[in-house]
Amino acid sequence: MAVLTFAVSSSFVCLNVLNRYLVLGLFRDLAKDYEGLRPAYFAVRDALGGIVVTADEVPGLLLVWVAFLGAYLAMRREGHIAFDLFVNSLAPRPRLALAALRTLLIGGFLLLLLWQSIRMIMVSGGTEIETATIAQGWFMLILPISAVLLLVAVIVRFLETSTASTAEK
Amino acid sequence: MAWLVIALLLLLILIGMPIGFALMIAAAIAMALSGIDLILAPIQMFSGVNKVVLLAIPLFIFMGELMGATSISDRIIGLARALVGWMRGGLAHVNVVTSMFMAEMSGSAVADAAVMSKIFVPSMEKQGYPKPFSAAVTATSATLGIIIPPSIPMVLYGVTTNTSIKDLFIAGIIPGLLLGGAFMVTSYIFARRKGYPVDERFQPSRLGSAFASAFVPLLIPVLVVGGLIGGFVTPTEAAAVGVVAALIFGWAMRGDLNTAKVYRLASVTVRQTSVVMMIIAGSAVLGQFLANEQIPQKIAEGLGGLTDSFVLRMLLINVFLLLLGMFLHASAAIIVVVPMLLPLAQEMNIDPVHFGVIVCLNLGIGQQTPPVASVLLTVCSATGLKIEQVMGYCKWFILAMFVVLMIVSFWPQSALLLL
Repeated sequence: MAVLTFAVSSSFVCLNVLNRYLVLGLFRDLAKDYEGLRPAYFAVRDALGGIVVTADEVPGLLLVWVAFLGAYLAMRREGHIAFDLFVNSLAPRPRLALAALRTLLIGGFLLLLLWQSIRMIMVSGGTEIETATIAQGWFMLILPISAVLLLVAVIVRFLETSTASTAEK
Repeated sequence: MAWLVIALLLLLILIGMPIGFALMIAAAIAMALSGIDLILAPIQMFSGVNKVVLLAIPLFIFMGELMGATSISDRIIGLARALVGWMRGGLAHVNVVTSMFMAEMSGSAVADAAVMSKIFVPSMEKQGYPKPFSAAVTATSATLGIIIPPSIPMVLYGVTTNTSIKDLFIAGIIPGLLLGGAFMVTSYIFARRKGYPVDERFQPSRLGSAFASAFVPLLIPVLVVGGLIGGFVTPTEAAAVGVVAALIFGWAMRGDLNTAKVYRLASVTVRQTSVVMMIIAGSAVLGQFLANEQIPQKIAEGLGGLTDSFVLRMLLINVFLLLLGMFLHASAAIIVVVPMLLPLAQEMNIDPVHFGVIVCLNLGIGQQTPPVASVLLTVCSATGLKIEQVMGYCKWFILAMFVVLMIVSFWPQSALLLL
């Protein structure tokens, strides 16, 4: 899903460049010179025109999906950027205690995020984005979804850490 | 109150909290204590990431990943060998020049270091170079990836400080070349003193065939950076063009890539991107709070109040950034701390573009210096060497970086000449 969203948002950017230089540039010049090409030019221009009008807005909105879905994937695999020098210098028991504290704090924040992002969608989710008749709530939806996913991921991560710590002892 | 929040943030980072979440939690607590409606937290997170220009980051990462997975690096190495392999300490120079070329195709020093250490360290070892020396050259020259355009830290700096990314990319060219030159001089001094070998004799015909082989891959950075500098495309579009070009080269022309490989690389890209984006989302929430409390201005006043001398203030900024780079990942340092230093830079009449290059150079040095040393650690992990072994050689290359940093800091034209 995250890769697909990344591909779609990137495609918008590519289509914008394609439209600007190949369709509105090269193809239009050709269509000026060769009458037979004009119907094809108009068809392509209109088809792409409907998409690229959103190219300055939708890729950014989709990036939010990429970022938060990716955040879940990163939490499940290699983790997020952290300063772990101090923690790694501790004995297993205090290290595990700090891991528990971190999990509690992040978990608490994610529950807060879940609640507040649902409020956000209820308050302003119905407003349409500027370049298309799509409610921005569809794009905001990733926040509560990722809050739940990340909550699962941090709990799983803590359980894995706890198991590894027990084995280390 | 604001200082309490900063203390809390530092405490959360110290206990190993992921930096993005530390920022979010500190901000949420600050907002709750200040009586600000917490609905602003998701709103700021959403709007902090919802920027088309930020899409340049995953696209540049993806472009670098695609390049690393194709035969492009072999062709670039072939060209670098033909260009500088005849010098004493040939492979060390080839390593540096390859990194300079690869820096044009990837915006990440860590990614470059991971690829280069697997290629260069074994082949340099075969020619009699000490393994730690080979690792040191590989690690330090990978830093060129964040100075020579395209550069992900420069994209982040541009977005964070509202500075033209195109200008930052142009400003990185001369300092990047200076840095490459400094690494080559350092390698040459080692080669003369330790008697490291020449790689191969210079042959114009060999150079011609190597150039022909690398011609198509070299067109990719020309398209990306040229398109951006020429004003034909935005940074995001330039990165997208680079991805398409790399896909065409690796998939259609060479057959190095297939669907499964591209999917895997895209998945890696998404994860790497999200790690940076969480810091951006967190700093969007905390940044707003700190800005309301005028913390950046207070920090600027505090640092600036220590001395009126431009030279001492510049040195102070450099020391601060060097220390920061030693403890924080470059992306986190730029997103979180640079907005706090910018008022001081403005007060000192430092051009924001020039300041951006200074920041990237400092953080580049930070990538080589423990405890964080992301690039050095990547190379150590890939080569199985200990940090202290590599540091014996690495310190001289870091000294070379420091000399370039001082030149760029006190001679603004070194960065601004091409603008």
